[in-house]
Amino acid sequence: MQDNIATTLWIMLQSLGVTFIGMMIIYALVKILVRYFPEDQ
Amino acid sequence: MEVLLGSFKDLSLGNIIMFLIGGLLIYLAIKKDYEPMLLLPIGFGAILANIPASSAIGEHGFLTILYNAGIATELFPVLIFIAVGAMIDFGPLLQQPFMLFFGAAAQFGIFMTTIFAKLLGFSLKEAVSIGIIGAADGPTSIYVANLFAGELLGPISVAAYSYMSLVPLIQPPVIKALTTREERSMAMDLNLHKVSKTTRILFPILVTAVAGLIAPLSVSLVGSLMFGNLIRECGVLEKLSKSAQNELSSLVTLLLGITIGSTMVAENFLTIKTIMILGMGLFAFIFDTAGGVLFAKFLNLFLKRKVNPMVGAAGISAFPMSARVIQRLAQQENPGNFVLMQAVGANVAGQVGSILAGGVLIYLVSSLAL
Repeated sequence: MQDNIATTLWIMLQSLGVTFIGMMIIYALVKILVRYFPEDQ
Repeated sequence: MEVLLGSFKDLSLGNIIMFLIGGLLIYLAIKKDYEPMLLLPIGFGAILANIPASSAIGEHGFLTILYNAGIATELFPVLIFIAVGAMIDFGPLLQQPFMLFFGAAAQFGIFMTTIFAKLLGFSLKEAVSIGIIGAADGPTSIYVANLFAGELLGPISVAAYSYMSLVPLIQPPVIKALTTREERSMAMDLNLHKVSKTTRILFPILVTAVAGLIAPLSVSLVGSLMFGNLIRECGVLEKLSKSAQNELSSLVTLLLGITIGSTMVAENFLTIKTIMILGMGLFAFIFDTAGGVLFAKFLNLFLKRKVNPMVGAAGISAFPMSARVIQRLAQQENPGNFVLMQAVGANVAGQVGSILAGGVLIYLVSSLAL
């Protein structure tokens, strides 16, 4: 790949997208944890 | 006499300017209380490194040895993350997981700054290293900059830590420019539930696994942060948790600061690039704040229970300053308004978001054959 503005833009779009997807997965994970482990025994 | 004056003769204008910059950083640390734990060691390190023929740097200089052992190997940032993880209470985030999205949106400054840096002529690796200042997270900035643009480590670290300490000055005008008085005075429901210990223990383990699977190169960053948090939450390692929060944090911060300062040698630091990096660092923090606020406003178009858009701005990683700024602004508009818990949730999410974004960028850029 060439070191140019198009590559930079593509990398940044991917990173923003993957960061959001990662946060969505963590969100789902927290929801599951809170649902299945609501209280300490 | 000549021996005594030898170093004076070698003193360049650049060295003198660096003494002044070092002195300024020490002044800001002591007088203005701007990130004193870092700016003071950085300032003093800069002075040590700019004394002609300084024995502190060079092959056998203790600062060079520290640099090779702790920065070049990425050990110091990772140790700092263990300490930070032990300090963070993810409770407000686990009670309001929705805030995670603000932790992602407020990384917008990384995106904009990297593109801006690229347009200014920096290479992709340099541009990403500059953009990561927008993570508003010192160790992540150091980690990424050292990996991709070691020669820019000094200005990038100074910019990252300086602007983090200036969050109370940077964020309010950006927020006020993007929100109405009515939006800023908006109250939010607070429906906090108790978070079980099992959840608190499983959270750092599962986040490490998920982040590691998404971006394997983020494991050092996320893993060390979450390891520190696991020590805190497990309930059986209180002594280790306290050590990580106090002794480990203090010691590594001290060594990290003075070692970064030692990279600020006049001929490397006094360049047009440094001025550009300092300018772009400010740009990054402005766009982080704008990204968080605008994302919250966008979500409000669809949400029944509206979010105070200022909470979005707390999604930057500068903890807990940003959350405090948001609470102060909320009370300025409406003295009875209390959005601190929501802002803290977003602020903690910013910690996760910044290291995830940093890890993803490392992964994406490393995979390119540049």
